[in-house]
Amino acid sequence: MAKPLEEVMRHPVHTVVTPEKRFWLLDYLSTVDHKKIGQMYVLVGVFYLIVGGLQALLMRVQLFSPDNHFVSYQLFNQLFTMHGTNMIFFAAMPLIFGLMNLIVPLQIGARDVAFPFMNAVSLWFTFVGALLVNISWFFGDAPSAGWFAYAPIGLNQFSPGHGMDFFIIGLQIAGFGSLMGAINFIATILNMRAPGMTLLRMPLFTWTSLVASGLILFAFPPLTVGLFLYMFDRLFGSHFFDAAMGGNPVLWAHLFWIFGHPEVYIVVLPAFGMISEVVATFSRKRLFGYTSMVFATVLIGFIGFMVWIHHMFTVGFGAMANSIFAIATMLIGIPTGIKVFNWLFTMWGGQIRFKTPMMFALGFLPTFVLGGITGVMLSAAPADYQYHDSYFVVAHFHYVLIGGVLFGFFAGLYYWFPKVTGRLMHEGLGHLNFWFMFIGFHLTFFPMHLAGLYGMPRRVPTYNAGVGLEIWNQLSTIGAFVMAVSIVLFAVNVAYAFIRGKKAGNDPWDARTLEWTIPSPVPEYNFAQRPLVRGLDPLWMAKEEGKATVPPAEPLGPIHMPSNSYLPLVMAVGLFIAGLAVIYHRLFFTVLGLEILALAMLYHSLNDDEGYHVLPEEQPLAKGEGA
Amino acid sequence: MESQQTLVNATDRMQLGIETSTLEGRNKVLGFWVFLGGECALFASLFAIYLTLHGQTLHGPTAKELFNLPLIGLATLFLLTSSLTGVLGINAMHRGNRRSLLRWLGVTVLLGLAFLAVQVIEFITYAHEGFGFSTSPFSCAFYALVGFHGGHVAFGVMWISTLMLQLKKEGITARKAPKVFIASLYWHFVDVVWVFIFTVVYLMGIMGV
Amino acid sequence: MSNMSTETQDRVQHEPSHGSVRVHVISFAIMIVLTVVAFVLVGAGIAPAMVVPVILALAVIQVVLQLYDFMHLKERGHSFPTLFITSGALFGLIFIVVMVLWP
Repeated sequence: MAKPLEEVMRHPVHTVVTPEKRFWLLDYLSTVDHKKIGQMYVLVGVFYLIVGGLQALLMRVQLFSPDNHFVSYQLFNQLFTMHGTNMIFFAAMPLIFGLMNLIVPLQIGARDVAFPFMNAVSLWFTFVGALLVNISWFFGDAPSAGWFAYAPIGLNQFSPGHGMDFFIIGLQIAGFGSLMGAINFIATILNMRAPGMTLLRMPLFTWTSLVASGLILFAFPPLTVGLFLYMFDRLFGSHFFDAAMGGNPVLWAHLFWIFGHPEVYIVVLPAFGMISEVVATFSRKRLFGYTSMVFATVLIGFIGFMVWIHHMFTVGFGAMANSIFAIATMLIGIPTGIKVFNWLFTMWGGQIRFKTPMMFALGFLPTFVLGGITGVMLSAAPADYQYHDSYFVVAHFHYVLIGGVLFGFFAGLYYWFPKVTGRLMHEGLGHLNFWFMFIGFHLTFFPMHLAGLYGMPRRVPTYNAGVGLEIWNQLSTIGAFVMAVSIVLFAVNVAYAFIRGKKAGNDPWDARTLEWTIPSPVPEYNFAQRPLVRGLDPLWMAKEEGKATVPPAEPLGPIHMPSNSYLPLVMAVGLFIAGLAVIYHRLFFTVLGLEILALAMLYHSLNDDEGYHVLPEEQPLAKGEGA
Repeated sequence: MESQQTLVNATDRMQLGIETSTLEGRNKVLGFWVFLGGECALFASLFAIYLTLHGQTLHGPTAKELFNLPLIGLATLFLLTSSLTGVLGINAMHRGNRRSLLRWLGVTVLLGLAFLAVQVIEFITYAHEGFGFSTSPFSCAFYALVGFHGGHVAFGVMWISTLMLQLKKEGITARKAPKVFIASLYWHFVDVVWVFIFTVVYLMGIMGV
Repeated sequence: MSNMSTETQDRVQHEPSHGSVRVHVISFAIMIVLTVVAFVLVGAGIAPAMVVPVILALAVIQVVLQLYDFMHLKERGHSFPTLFITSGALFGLIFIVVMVLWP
């Protein structure tokens, strides 16, 4: 390999000039730093969590008493549609990507993600997608066909306004962002691990992020196709889903649930990962059955693609289809059960510290198990004919999505908040936050099981008096407001941390993994020297050997960093313009928007970013260690 | 850092080629393969839609009345040959031969354009025979699947053309090589999809299956 | 021209280049033959029930050739690419089979 390789490896000389400091807002708008991108993802997620939560409160007020007219029936339809859409696509997904961005590169000892530029593109696509769906309120009407948008309800005949168009185009754009994010994290985790970090030494949050990214990779393209066909049906006169014209509405349901079921695992697996980190740290024990946890995660990922028909048991595919998918669904309970027992055995005999993240993890366990049990009940196809479309189902999936995902996220947010901001949150407020959320949650959703079993259907704007549904609905409404208080307490706690929070230091929780070996907040280059990993929980290993930190794998040296760029934002704006224009059939602006996107891509392709170097003398940590 | 990375992942290093000589290049190649995995799911969904709707011809023409075997054969020949020229281009890149690389990529682009021309002629003919996009669910599904593939070919043509400009200007560098390599992966993948399209859509359509 | 000859000399670095050109051309020839066979089978008017499995099998062989030879999947260090492309194909197959069976 004498000459040509050297010849071609000859890079143009890198600039060593550090770019000038930008105003913080401009810095964030143009950043390609995974930590800042992660913070913005979390902000987007929390914002839509609040929006979706307010929509839920309005629905709960409407359902507080029978025959209520607090909101109109059409508005109620819009509220539950937007509540579901916001919570899944624009709260849960950005929160996952936010925490993945913030933590995964740190956990594997990487300085960045594989594609920093594309990472920013993902963020801004998600951002404008969410914006497009939500501004439909201001353009006349929000979508009202449910977050699953079944045909033909969502087709022109029954949804004549533009709300559904906003929904389709917005989800499409956000979906591109998610797909790119998934590819990015798969490449990052597989290619950029620190020396010595084999696959089976990766922390469990990294593992679950990897598998969730794989699920996104295979689950989002069917949704992309479905949304494209939906768009053709609504805007360009095709007949894919219109039975009156020979099409087939069940095909949309197929494509949607091929995506929709893995989506549940996409959001819950990273939450499992967070719970695993928190339980191990606050029990001061190695995670019990690490290998089986990894195996269970991968298994859930694979079987997750073979269960989507259980959302469609009552379509009438017949006994064969229903049996196959019922059995596959029940099988998922096995790896999930393995996980639950592993968490319990991790705590068994550990030195448990009841810090706020651990409280959420402890609240997660029984709550999620309850959601799992009702899940197995629902997976029995004949019984599902009874539960179908009742509040029992609503109770089930909120136990999974709040008890599983949201509790997991809150455990993760409380756990990693000091790492991200450098400040500690208030423990007392944190506990109060947990108890309000835990009690409020069960008060809201446990009665829904009973309301469902007593026959209350989903998505109804009201119900009759005197059929025994009042008490359950009133309890639910009260519980919803208790949960709202818990979110306020969280906001107060965040504000407290920024104003008076104690400095966190590198390792406030006496934790085990690599992200706790570096300062909080994390310097832009993450690791002055990449660590050498010799086993699972490298920081804990070092502590057991009486060392302060994990040994470095490389000498100090200049660190190459990618440059900021506004192009991701420009691309997203172009796509936003094109999306808005296509809804109103404005060809000129559609082409204009797509041209902005294409030119930005071309400009990026033709102008390679040389980046810049952070020299050792500019690395405060490195200097400190050298001294 | 690079060297340690090499040591650790020695068992799973890709065969030495310029496209994987840097971490950035390895990321690009792996990331693109991952993307192609997602593309499988995308085209599978389109095939599933086509296979469930292709019987719904309503009053429009059927596949048997419509498809023209020699024309499809010609399109297939163009695209298959372009796949070969693409891989010969990568071969030239591995030898460090820029002129040969550019020549092969140029032939690839021309064959891609020829394929697109055949497809445009085909679609125009169909439109004249009363087979528009919204004629029947069959026509919708047909144009969605074949059109999506055609869009991929068109994008590939533009992509490879811009890469040729960059190669002309800067030569085969460790930055450009991964881009060229993944563009070739994309091109082969588009060909892979076409193999299934001509088999499932055209050949089975002509037999009336 | 001299420029080009110096460039071509350097192929020592990547020794399989000449051999692999031959392999690529052979693969291509096989693909063309398989395609022609498929077209001829369809044109010959044999019962579709016999032909369809055959042409589907021919398509799969072609695709495997593309992946393994043209896309270099046969080379060392391609375990992750193989994993992702086969997973995509497997899931895609599941989608198609289920949707065709129960539309």
